[in-house]
Amino acid sequence: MFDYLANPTRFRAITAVIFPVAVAVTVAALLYGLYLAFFASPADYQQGETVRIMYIHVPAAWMALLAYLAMAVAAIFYLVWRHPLADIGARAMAVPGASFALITLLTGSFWGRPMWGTWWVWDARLTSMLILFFLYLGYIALADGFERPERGSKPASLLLVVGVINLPIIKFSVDWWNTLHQGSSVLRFGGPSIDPAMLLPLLVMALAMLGWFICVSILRMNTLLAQRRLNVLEIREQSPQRGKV
Amino acid sequence: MSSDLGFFAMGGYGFYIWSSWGVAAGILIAVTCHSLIRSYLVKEQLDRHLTDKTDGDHLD
Repeated sequence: MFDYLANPTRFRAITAVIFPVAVAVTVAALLYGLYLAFFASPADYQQGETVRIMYIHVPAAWMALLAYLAMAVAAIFYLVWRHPLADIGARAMAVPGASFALITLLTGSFWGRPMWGTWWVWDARLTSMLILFFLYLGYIALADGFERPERGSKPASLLLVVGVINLPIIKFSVDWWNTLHQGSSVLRFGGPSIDPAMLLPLLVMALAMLGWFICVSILRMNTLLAQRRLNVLEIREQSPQRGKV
Repeated sequence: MSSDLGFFAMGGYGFYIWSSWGVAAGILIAVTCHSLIRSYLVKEQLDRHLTDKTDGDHLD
């Protein structure tokens, strides 16, 4: 199954079908999500209008975790089966994933200032999220830090796999330690405790962000495939004798 | 008019709410543009390379 999908030509053919569908879903979900977030959902009885920051902050946090998990799975595929497409997939997801982590941190600060009275505290949830952002930056620096990109693939993939330990720490930090950050209200045992009028915009915005992530990752994967092809052609031209062998 | 201003004021939290959404939109748009421009440049470079190669082969 993986071998079937991992063929670059087949990958381009499959993504040529998926890409326009993902763009349409992203645009539709984004427009509906914005309407729900700003017009159809009520203000919170305690936090007032600032609850509207939640509709960008929480989906971005989910996507930051999901993107990292997807990259780690791709890294395992690369380390075990050595398939270059798995490495290219992880590389393509790194910048969109890091963007989600950065959005989570910044929007969290904008939400924390009026509600907690501070832009930042070194508590477990915020610090572990900052570590996730640094893991993304570390991966990008390591993967792109070599003249020949494939040389950075193994150490960068190992970093991704080791960094997975941070994901459950982020998720359960609010249960394991006393933090300023509120506990889970959607992904929790016993079902969501959030009001359906607020849950719907949250889920629709999450769908929009997932769609954006898929679109940008496909675009970046195709770019990386084209870049590698270009590199191979240039190397063959520089050493024609080797190219003919 | 006053209801419009009320919407943008967001109960006195407008700065925090609009800054959050603005920063998020800025980051997402920047990454989208970067990905599109890089894709265009690499594909153009590859096409030019392949075209030059074909022309060269033709001349040979």
